Amino acid sequence: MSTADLAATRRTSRLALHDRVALVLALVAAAGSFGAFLSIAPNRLADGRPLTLWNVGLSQTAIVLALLVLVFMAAFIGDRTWRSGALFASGAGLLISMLLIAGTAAAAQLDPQEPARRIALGSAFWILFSVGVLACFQGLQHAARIWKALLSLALAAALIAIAASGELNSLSLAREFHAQRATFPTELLRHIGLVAAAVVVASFCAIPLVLAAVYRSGARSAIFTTLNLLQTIPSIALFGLLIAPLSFVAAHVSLAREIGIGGIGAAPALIALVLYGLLPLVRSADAGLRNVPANVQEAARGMGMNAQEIFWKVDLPLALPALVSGLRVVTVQSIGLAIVAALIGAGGLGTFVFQGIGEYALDLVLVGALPTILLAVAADALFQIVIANVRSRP
Amino acid sequence: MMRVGLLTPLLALAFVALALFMPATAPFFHWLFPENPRPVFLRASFLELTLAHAELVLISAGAATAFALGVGIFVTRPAGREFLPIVGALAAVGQTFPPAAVLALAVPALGYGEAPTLLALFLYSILPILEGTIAGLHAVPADVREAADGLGFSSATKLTRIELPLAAPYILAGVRTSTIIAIGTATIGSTIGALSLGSPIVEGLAAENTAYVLQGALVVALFAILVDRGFELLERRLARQSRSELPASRPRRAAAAAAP
Amino acid sequence: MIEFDAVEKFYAGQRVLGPLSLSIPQGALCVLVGPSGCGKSTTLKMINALITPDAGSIRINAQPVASHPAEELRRGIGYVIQSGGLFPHWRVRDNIATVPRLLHWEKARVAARINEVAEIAAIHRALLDRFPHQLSGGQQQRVGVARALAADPDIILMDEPFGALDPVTRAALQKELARLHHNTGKTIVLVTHDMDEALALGTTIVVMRKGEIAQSGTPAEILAAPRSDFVRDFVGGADAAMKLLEFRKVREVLRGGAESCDHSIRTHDTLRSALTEMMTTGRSILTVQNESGAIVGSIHVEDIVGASKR
Repeated sequence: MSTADLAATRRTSRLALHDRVALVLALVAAAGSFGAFLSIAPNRLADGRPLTLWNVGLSQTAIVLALLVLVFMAAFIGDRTWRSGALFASGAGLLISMLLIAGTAAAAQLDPQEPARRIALGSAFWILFSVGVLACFQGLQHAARIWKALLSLALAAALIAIAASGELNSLSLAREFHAQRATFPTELLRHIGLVAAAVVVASFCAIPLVLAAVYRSGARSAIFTTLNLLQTIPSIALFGLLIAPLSFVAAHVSLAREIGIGGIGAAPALIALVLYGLLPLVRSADAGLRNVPANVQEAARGMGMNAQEIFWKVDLPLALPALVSGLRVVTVQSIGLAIVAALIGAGGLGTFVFQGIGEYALDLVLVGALPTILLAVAADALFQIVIANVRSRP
Repeated sequence: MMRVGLLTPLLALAFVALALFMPATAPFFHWLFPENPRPVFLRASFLELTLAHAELVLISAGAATAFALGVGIFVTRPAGREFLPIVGALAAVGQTFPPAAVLALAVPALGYGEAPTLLALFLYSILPILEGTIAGLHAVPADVREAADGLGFSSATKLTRIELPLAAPYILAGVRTSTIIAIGTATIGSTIGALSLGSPIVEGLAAENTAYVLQGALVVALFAILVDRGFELLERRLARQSRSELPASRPRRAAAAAAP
Repeated sequence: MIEFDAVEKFYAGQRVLGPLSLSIPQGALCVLVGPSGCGKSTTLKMINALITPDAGSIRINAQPVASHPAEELRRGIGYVIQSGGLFPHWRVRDNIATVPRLLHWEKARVAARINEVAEIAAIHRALLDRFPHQLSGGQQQRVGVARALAADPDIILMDEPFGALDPVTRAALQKELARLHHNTGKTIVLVTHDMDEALALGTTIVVMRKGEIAQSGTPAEILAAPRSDFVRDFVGGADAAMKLLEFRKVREVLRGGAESCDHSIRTHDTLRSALTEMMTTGRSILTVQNESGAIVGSIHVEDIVGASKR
């Protein structure tokens, strides 16, 4: 036998495991697919009866099974490009087919006799969907940055198109969303507005604190101790602690009442979000400014720059990436904390969360929670892009 | 000598006094809110609430620490290195999820009460500890690892005697972050029916009883601050013992210019 | 002319420098050399007022340093530090233009000057649009020198400029600095802890120890007559004899008479190259020619040995 033949036999006879992550994903998905794919309840309050994947239909089960086998087989592909391609393709296929199967299955389960029937997504759906996301991530891991961006955007566009096409309208989540369509944009805007206002106000408040922390060594420890203390207080407690003093102000200062300051509402929420935002902002700006290399500063002084010139031309540009990453932390954090603000009447997406919890309407909870998560993840990704760009620029 | 300062003991004293003798503050809250017929939260004692709160946090943080340490160690061994990118990405993206949203998502899974709160606290607590463990194990200098190999350490003794002690400050920082977030999230857990120091706040907000809100907020704020101070002391002790510190900022500015 | 007059500096009540009096003539390449902590950097930084003396005064061309606003003074003095200290967020071009822009030069003049100094410091055109981190250590240091030269200052201060470079790059840059000094006639004050660097570059050498001047003079003076054991050790003990031969010329030990020999050397060559020539040819006597090639005498090995004695 020639060497080429030998190599060929070895290639075919020895099945080697090349990606154990893919293997684990396939196994998790297989185990998870035994759970309820959909859950069907006669109304909003009653408990649901589970509907497994094979209850949905044989062809649907076959499609999912085929995709899982593809993930499984991808683990044994030696060539990295092919393995990654197979993983991404099966992951994307899983995501798209999950949505389509859930949508059509839910539509088939609608019953005119039972108009209040709720068809919710079950654990099998969520597990398979998550595995799809992770398979896509694993498949894109070694891809060039441009491919990562293009493929993720294309996939996201496809998923959004499916959701927008009305294909999912029979699912209780969509129906709940539809039911809230009058208030959803208002609350979303209010949520974003609260976060934006908090970030802007906190940034302005942080400026003197940063300058004091960096350039007045005496103030440093006091500033950080205080801000750390504030950051430690649970959000709901800080909101609560602000209610009493603010209602006192509202009761005794008519001007404050007229501009909308009160114990309940946007004022305590905004103040609390600003107080929380200060620590990450001051900490990152402080680190950025103090990490300007000593020899660069010495060179600047030696060249004859005065203190203002050193600050504006050297310190600030060099600290810029740190400043932006501080903004990133504060924005993501505020998006999450603003949920809790709904408890003190500040509105925002938390309104749906707590209303849903109060009414035991779990889909309503999702109407609030899912967009908040998407908002936080999107803001985080956006800031990462900005940071990458400030880094590479002068 | 460890510098504790005057603030921490004072806060501790206030916390113990409030947790034990909240009913004694009735005249004060009555004076503050004269129209309020029930100025002190009495459905459960504040000691009970504190213990329930601490239990939620301890169980979830303990389980999360064990789990995160295990995963963190696994993905930094040669055998598990393949899983590092996906685990790291999960930990990073997961931390952008709002804790309150994670708590809300636990309700469809487990209903109301302590169970979903525990699940949410556990899941969320994993992430900072996992990130700290991975960062800490990666921060062990390559030459230290090499020296350990050269001296004939087995990989298990290298892990327990060299790598974990050197990574300890990072891991502890992760546990601190997790615990503080867990205390805050357990407070919100009262909205889904868990008994905690958030209960007076949530009930007070619902019944427009600001006195309840104040009482719960004060006690839980003190509780969180004291736990955080405790971690601070622990971190300082650890730094002194191992003489290693978290990556601090560079030497002070102007130091270079002043050197003779 | 830079003059130090009884300058002293204290840290935490301890005198760390001085009293120090020193004058550096116009056009000199003065090297402050000594072990770390000897006060050489402090001395240097007092010239551009990065450090102010606690007693005594410093004058540049008879003007007290303290009489000018510090920033204005520094813009008129070039300053080069170890590993460049380049601004990492600016391109090479912008780094070089720092001081001209601080002085509000016109754009066209700045642009022209960038090209001029880049040429003087042997920086390739293509590097001008790079960022500092894209350059090698040697290239970064050239940019540091170009930046110091940009506003055409009369005085250039260099604080361990070649300290972070590998020996080959260091030697190349030293040679270029010597050429630059020769061509421009600027006053250069350079700090180093490396005696060989001091001997290779300095027209004047100031050996410092514990905040005081241990000895100052030309390289040959210091090699030939170290004033203390410290200086003797610092200049390199026995090896100093060889170094000294670098600073002595053939004409100093020339014998008259024309002992003809088939190997010759010129009057302005160093004794070291004469010795090398003898060792490679196996002769103990060489014929000496003057610049125009005429034989003016001979040189004997025992005279070279005699000259290396102090």
